[in-house]
Amino acid sequence: MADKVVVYGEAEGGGITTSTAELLAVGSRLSRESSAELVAVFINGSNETGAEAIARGADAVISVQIPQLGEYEPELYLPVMEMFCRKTNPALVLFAHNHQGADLACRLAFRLGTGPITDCTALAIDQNTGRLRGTRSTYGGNIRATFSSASGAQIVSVREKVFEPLERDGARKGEITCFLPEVELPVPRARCLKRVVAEYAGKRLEDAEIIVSGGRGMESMDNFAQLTELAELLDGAVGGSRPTVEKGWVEQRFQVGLTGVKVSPKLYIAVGISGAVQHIAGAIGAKTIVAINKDAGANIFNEAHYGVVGDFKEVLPAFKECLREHLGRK
Amino acid sequence: MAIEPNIVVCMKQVFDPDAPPKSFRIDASGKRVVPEGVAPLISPFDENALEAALRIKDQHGGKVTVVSMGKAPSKRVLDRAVASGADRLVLLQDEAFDELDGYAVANVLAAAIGKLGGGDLILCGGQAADSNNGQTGIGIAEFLGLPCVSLARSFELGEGKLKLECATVDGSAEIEVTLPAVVTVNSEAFTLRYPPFPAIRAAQKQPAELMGAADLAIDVASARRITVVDLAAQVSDTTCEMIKGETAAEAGANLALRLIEAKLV
Ligand SMILES: Cc1cc2nc3c(=O)[nH]c(=O)nc-3n(C[C@H](O)[C@H](O)[C@H](O)COP(=O)(O)OP(=O)(O)OC[C@H]3O[C@@H](n4cnc5c(N)ncnc54)[C@H](O)[C@@H]3O)c2cc1C
Repeated sequence: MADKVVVYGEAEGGGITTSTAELLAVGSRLSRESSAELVAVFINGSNETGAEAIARGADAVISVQIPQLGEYEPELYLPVMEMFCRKTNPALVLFAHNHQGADLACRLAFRLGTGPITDCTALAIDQNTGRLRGTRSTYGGNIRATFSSASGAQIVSVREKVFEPLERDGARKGEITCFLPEVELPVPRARCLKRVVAEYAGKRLEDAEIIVSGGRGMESMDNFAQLTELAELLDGAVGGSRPTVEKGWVEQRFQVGLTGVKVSPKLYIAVGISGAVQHIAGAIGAKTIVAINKDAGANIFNEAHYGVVGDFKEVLPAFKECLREHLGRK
Repeated sequence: MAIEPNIVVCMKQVFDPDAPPKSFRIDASGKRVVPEGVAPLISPFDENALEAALRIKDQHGGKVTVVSMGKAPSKRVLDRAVASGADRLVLLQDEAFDELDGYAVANVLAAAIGKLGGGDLILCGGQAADSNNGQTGIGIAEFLGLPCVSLARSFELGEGKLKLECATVDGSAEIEVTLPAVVTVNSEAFTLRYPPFPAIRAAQKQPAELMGAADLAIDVASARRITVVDLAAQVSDTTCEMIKGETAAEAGANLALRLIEAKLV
């Protein structure tokens, strides 16, 4: 029996999430490098979900059917995944490093008697040992570290938006099996009483192709608001560095960085941001970074692709005006 | 239970994460970061966990025990925790605790917490400021067979249970967990109070309790799972095209033109 590389899949509206498609793309390469089969596992997935996973690179899909499982509850999902792993003995299990995946990967690894490699941005199979090497950023973004383990299950979570999904191929074939496990679900000791979906003005950072982000250099809340106008003009979202969140110029959920959101837009415009590693840790996924800063020596210019040295009070209005003229928007 | 809770806070000593990037050097073995001229301090994430514990203590009484593990955790650094209001400081200190992986760290801390008699509530920072791993809390919970709630930003202690608010992708969740439990603390929620000067002096005089690998019934050497294969400084390979103009305003306009030309907007 071939080894298995397993992708923990998340369904979305009859299909799969973008992160799942990304995992299938990396998983597909890793399974080839280790002559393994790529299996996507979904908890309560549908046939459509399975078909979509196959079109995106899975060799086979296993849908674990436990009707009484609802939204993610760690204490209920963990025994299901534990049992799945004990039954199928995968060489490698890939999770997206998101809210659910990061949490479940970690719990599953410890449950299986090992540690996870979390938030990986590069993955490869060591051709000598056949073991996975996972690379992640440490020391707040100062160091890139590569980890491996000598034996046992390999559980990793993979940073979102680092890997490109494979082209969809509807002609790909693969088996979709249902699996009705005999697993006794515990009475969870931690229970979710209530979920609140927060209403925010403005686009989510995760969804935006363009992000306009401000730092302490914006000097005041009123100045910071200029960034909203710019973002609207570009159909983008507004983010901020940690100090701007602390000052209350922007809400916590829009903080970019190590302890905020890790974003991957096409364009990231940083205004009055010095470019501390902890901030860059969240912005490094951007395809193009633009910096506006009055200090020519600011570290942000080491990370940016385009830069203007100058006071934002002079640079921004002209920048905006010129964009407005050429883009023909109001 | 838990009217006056027994709270254990796990705190790691790290090198100041705010130090300039070039001070994070890699040694000749290529497997170890040796910061140069960087001060040791308590991982800021664990300060958040301590503050959460102290606020519970302010309200309900009880006791806060700080546990710090490493090859040589410094009492001088950890005194800050006692000065801020922790009752007890336990240093898990041993050569064998040097550069452990996340699995071994959780194993050792869980064993030590067990040895100390457990707690109603065990708090950890969301991640360590050096490894940025974010697995210790979950690991301790697994080893102790306790529930774990990740990244809470508010705490409400009740009879034998705790109500927590946690951030989710699209808002927040209210979670109730029975005690004893492990909770990791949201890094943006609790800034550690500043200890008054007399408290710092008093903390310096209070001795720490010491524990080594021999005091714990585990084989630390065989507890490692994940090893470092390679370390590299994160270097930026981008070159910045500086956009100029007669004035800053003109440079701003030129930037717009350049982005339009490059089809980035
Ligand atoms: C554990 C830990 C976690 C952290 N997590 C995060 C995180 O998630 N996100 C984050 O952002 N930070 C984080 N930080 C903080 C980080 O280290 C920096 O302190 C922070 O990013 C600095 O924010 P800033 O660039 O807005 O402010 P500053 O560093 O103060 O920079 C302001 C910049 O604005 C420029 N400026 C000033 N006035 C003007 C003007 N008129 N026109 C143009 N430019 C001007 C200045 O030249 C300067 O470069 C973390 C720190 C630690 C220790």
